[in-house]
Amino acid sequence: MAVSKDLVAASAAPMILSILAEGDSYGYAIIKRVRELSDGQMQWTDGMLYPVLHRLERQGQAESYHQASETGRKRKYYRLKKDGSKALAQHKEQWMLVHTTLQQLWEKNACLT
Amino acid sequence: MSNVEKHIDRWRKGLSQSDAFTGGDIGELENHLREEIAVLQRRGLSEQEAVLVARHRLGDTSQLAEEFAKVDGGRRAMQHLSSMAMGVLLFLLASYASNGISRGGVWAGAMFGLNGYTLGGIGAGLRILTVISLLLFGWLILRSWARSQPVGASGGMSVPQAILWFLVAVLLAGTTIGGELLFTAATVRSLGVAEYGRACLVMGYARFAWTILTPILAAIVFVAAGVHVQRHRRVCDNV
Repeated sequence: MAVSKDLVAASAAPMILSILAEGDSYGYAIIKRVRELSDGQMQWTDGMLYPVLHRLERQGQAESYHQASETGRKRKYYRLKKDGSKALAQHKEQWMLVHTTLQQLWEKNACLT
Repeated sequence: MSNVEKHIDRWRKGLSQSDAFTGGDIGELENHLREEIAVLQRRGLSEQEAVLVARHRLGDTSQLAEEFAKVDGGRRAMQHLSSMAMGVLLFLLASYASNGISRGGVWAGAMFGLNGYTLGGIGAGLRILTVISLLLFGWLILRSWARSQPVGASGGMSVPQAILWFLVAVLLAGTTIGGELLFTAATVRSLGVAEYGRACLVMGYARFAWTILTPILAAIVFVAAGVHVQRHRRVCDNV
């Protein structure tokens, strides 16, 4: 089952923030984590992750630093900032609200059928 | 260079054509591409397969450019603004210089004893020729300067660089305007006012025609450039 484009776009920021809340990370690792968690069902166009990361950085929710990777190439890591944690908390509330609302509706419908 | 390197190189060049990516953006995307290619190769894909799959997953260049540009619209606007400022400066300098040179030509002609009408023709012709060639020359210099900048540089310039350009511009404008005045004075002295008036008349008519023709020429160039860019874009998208 492919998740619709709109939903992917809407969930990108909370997902990235949640992954960064686990610890500093970089683009490729973030994508890999999303793929693992969703069993490969969340198909992002990989490159689209970066504009989202850059936006978070600009909004002061994340910050970046460079560190050499195993291959010796410079890699850009992202770290969650205080504002990012705050934003993540808000995202959580909103998503939970949507989730419980839908769940109640679907449970009701399940009784009717 | 291995095939993978060649492919990555070509892909990187494709990205650097767009002003949506900074050098840092391209480096970050390149890291991603390399990592994905390595992982896919470890899973048993051939070099070429790995490159193709990794590129597909990363997304196509024009789509990426659109997304990247959204995040950093301000930088793009600044880039356009600075190239516009350069264009205006270039145009001003070219017209000052062409005035100076054409007056120089008229003065030289007067020294050879040519009459006012011929001198007017020489002045007008020189002016048009020099303005076109100076614009072309200046544009080539600006382009090679822009190309010598590191990939994805901000497109603006540093303060000392800007001051240097400003000084060069003022010096050029001052010299050419000064030259124009000196040449005009010398011409009037050697020709007499009446004959010089005839030269001015011809130059005035030519200027009038030029004023009407330039916007038309500019419009043609704009339309042609637009068509060219669109065609180029379509070709890039198909690759």
